[in-house]
Amino acid sequence: MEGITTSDAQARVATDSAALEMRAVSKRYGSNVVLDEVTMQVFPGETVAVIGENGAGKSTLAKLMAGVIRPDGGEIRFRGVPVSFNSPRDALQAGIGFIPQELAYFPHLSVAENILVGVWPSRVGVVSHRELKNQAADAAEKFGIQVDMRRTMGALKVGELQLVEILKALCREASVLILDEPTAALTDAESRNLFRVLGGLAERGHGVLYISHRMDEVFRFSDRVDVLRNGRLVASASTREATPGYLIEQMLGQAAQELTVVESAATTETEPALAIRDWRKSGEPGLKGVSLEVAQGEVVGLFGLRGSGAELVAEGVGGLHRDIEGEIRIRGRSPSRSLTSPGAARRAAVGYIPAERKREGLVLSLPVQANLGLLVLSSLSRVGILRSRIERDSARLWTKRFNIRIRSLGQLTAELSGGNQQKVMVASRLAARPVVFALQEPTRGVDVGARVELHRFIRDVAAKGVGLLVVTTDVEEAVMLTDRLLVMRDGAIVAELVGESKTQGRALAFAAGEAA
Amino acid sequence: MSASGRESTIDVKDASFRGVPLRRRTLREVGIQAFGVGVFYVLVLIFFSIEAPHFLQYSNFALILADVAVIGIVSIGQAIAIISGGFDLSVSGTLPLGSVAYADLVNHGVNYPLAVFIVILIGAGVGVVNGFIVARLGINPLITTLGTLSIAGGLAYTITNGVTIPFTYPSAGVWGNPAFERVQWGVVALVVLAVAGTLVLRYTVYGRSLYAIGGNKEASRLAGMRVNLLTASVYIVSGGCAAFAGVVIASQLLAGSASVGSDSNLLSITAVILGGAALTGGVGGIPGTMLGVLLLGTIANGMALMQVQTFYQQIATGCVLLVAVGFGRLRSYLAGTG
Amino acid sequence: MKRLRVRLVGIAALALVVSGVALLATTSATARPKATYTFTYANVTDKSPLFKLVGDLMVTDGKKVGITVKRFDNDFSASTALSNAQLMVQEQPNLIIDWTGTESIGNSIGAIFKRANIPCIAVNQTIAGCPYFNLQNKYLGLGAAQIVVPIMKQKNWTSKDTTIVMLFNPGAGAEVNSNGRYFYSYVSARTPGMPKRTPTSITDSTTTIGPLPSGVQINGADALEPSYTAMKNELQLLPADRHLIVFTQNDDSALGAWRAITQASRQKNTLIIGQGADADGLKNLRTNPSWVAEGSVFFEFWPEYQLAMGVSILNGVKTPPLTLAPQTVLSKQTVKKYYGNGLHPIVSPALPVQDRYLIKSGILQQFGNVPGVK
Repeated sequence: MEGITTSDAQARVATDSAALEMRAVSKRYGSNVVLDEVTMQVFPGETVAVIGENGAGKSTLAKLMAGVIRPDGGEIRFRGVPVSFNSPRDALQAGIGFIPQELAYFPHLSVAENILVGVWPSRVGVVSHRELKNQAADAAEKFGIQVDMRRTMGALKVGELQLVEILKALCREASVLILDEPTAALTDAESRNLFRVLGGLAERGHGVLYISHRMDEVFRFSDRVDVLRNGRLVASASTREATPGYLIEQMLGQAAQELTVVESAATTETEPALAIRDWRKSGEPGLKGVSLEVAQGEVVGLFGLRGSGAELVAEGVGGLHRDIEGEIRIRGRSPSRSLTSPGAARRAAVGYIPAERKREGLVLSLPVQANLGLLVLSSLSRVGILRSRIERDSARLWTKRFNIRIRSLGQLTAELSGGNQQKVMVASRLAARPVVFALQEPTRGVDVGARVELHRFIRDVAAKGVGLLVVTTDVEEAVMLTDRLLVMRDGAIVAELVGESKTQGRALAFAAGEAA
Repeated sequence: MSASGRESTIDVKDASFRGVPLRRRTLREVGIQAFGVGVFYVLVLIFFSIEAPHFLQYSNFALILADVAVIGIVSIGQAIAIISGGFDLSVSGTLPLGSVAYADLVNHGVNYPLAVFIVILIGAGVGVVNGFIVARLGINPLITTLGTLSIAGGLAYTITNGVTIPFTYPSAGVWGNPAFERVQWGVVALVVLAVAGTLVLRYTVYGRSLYAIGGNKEASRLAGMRVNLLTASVYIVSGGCAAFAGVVIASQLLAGSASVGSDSNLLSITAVILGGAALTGGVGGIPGTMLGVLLLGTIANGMALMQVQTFYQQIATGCVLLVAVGFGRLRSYLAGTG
Repeated sequence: MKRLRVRLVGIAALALVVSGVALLATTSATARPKATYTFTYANVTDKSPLFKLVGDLMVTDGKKVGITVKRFDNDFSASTALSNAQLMVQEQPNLIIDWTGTESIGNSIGAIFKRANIPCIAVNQTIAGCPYFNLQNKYLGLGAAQIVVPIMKQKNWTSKDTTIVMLFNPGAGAEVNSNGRYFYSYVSARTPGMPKRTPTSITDSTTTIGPLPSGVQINGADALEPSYTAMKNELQLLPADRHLIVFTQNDDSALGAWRAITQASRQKNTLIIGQGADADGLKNLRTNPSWVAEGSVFFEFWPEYQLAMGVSILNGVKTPPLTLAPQTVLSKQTVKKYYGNGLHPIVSPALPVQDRYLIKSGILQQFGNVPGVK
């Protein structure tokens, strides 16, 4: 079904005051300003979609509204009254229900027990299960949500889990619901069901705000769209009047249109550095027959939203998955041992940069020098004994080449900034002299200066004949850095963008599922 | 595009972390722990010099060294385990097992060096079991080593039927004999092992890899290290050390006993933490551990000289551990990783 | 920085508390009086009230006769005993008395004393080169047997209907376990028809003696629960009308065995012998008709005997291989004489012959506990 008719929404806007209002709310982390004086409202009976690029501040905004974090500036008003939440419980008590992306529930308890957690009906301290089920069932019926009360929470599918979360909030008399990327892990049918439920709630006077970057959803299931860019609210339009193009333009900003054209170093004279044929993997997300080639000296990008399977391809190349079926060739030859472990990948001259440098890429407790040499300890040693002079000299070389800002090689890696840490990680992988290099989110959490440098290094590496596969959810980087951009959605490559057709707008559109 | 439009103003010279030049800062953090324990140790020395009769004598120091030789050797193995992110509670079973096995072997006429070698193999064997269960089966070290603790300790009792086995030939107790000027061979062994351990941890690929997997197992795995093998190996080292420590205590007692070393697991962990390690792994070192061992031994010695009842000694040891943990927290807080 | 400072202050405070506590503990120790000798004494353990009492008495008794005793606690631990041995040597006392609590480390401890050339006394566990003070379990067995045989005759218990149950502890060694074996040997020699055995012929692996069986040896581990379980199991194998004589090695074991007997309602048919003269043992001896004997080693008098022994050694007297601890097996008739109505002995048994050399030291006289010693 379609969303609420806008005339209803408009009528309500005119008469009632905002259920939830953010007035010039700001939030900063250290010197990093994540939200800059954002003002927005959610009216009762209204459904608002908040969209924006990665890092625009959408999640932070939702968390502020839900009481998970507190603003550094500005004011939050609920039903016209200024409020200050110290915890999500406060927010919930006030009437704001938050459905986060990662659901927290009790998998071993039943649905009913989860819905009413904290307020289980009991007599003399003994929980009455019949009463519990009845209360939960009543609530479900009242709000038009269908779910079996007796089942164990852990057995439910994601879509059902979300509905239970919503019910939980509603049982606490939430009048505003905030959802963070609700459909990221849902199937089409589940999404439709979710929005049906949300629509019903809106009709009953609840306010709904959800974060998304799926254009199709935004246009089908919202009254109003608010666009965040770089922590600022740059647009707020009624959905009926907005167009996808306008929204994308607002999301990306005007400057995005200029692209620096870089000479591609790709060569087709030799065997491709990397060739993947028909990769399949079951599961959610999975791969449904992905094939691609990266020529020597070429930078191929793989862009997709979360859940598209792009990260699986990079991880698979890096040797992290054993259950991917299909062929792989490095410089025309199958690797002597299938890439089922990171060690095997390294021995096959494949370099891999994981997405989370702190968790997966660096040993923060070690000094910089040690992290730089982490993959090549054997070549820095003789008979198992580390040659500290060689290690130091190599480290100095890499530090210089990548312009890593440190005071001393002995400095703990934990103390470096994000950008410098990223450089250390990249350098450490390059030290192993790969011929294929798969990178995930190479400039995530990195300041502008380091980002530019990293992009330049990647280009330099390509110029030396290495084939690079860059997987990123940053569309600007996807377009700027790559020679060819492959877009993935739902486990398959849905588009290949080259040259003139390689634009951010088209990349987004394909990734979101709009034919363009 | 990211919300980094603001970030161009971030100082890329963040390397100077709050304005303190980094070399000094790193030393400061690393030094805090050792510094803290070292100062504490000096305070303890001063206190006992005043309060405990006979404390400041050379013979007393030789005595302290002899006392700590055993727990010191165990702590070397424990340090290696903890740095790599694990820990070994089974040493309290392997130690008596080693002492009893050694007594049994030498009483049956087995030549002494061979007996030592066999006992170390036994300890390594316990370590292999630990290593396999922790690394391959993925069961956490607490449960695993508790299990092998019971098994090894129980084995020690069954071999002896609960009785202490005296040495038939006192010459088998060579480790208890003075090497020079009242310093026992056991102490010499401790120093040799400590030096060897320090060198391995600092200057070999193996040692570096241990710090890596202790600091971040996942990153090490992704860097291609053979994490399972490394994880398992530390238990072999720890078991071997504990068994050898059993040889030393048996040599000192001229008897093998299944009831020695029952608190060696917690004491060795205490010493390693005092020496700057974190229970999560990735930091620490053997010199600091040796300082920790000395501290514990000195406190025990001083209190015995002061004729303090054993209950108070227990309290004191417990306090020292809490202090050590406090210092550890302070250190990670300062490093920004706490 | 502020947090750092706060923490340092906290740690310093903690250190001060610890030292304060330690200081308090030591100020409760006795000050040094003008004394003639200084002894050091390492007690088997201060954690058990009975043994702690012995340690306390050693210090106060010593003070009474002008000997300063510095006290150590071996804590039933071999490595602590070793360490204490070194510490005691460091004190340079006139004499060391050491109750190590662990068998078989005597060689290493003895070597330490020998190297330091300090005379020593080994209590209960042997130490190489040190004169030995200990009870002899043989007499505990014999003494109990001497009490039991007349009672058997009086009750008309014969070899055809009586089983002697010996609870023993394999880990305790041959000397300790000899008590029950001497008991059986004596009783069987005086009971016509009962298979006779010498004490040494009964070993740790002996389980039954004779077809009836006339003798049974079960492992009670000298502890409460294991003795209870062992006795309970054994009772299943002995017919309900069998007369039982239960010999135990300590009162914990006796209580455990007695519990099993009570539960099986076999009290009337059972005689039981306890050891150690602790509170429960004495109570049962006085009130329980089946509890006919209680071995006592008069721990409370050990200090004065050992002090006398020490002084004798320093006077150059050559000691016998074993200086016997005061011991006797109490019967219902004799308990009043030795223990009055209380839990502590009021008089010691007569001095054994081999101990007569102690008289010359003049120590025992000052306590007046040993009859016939002036």
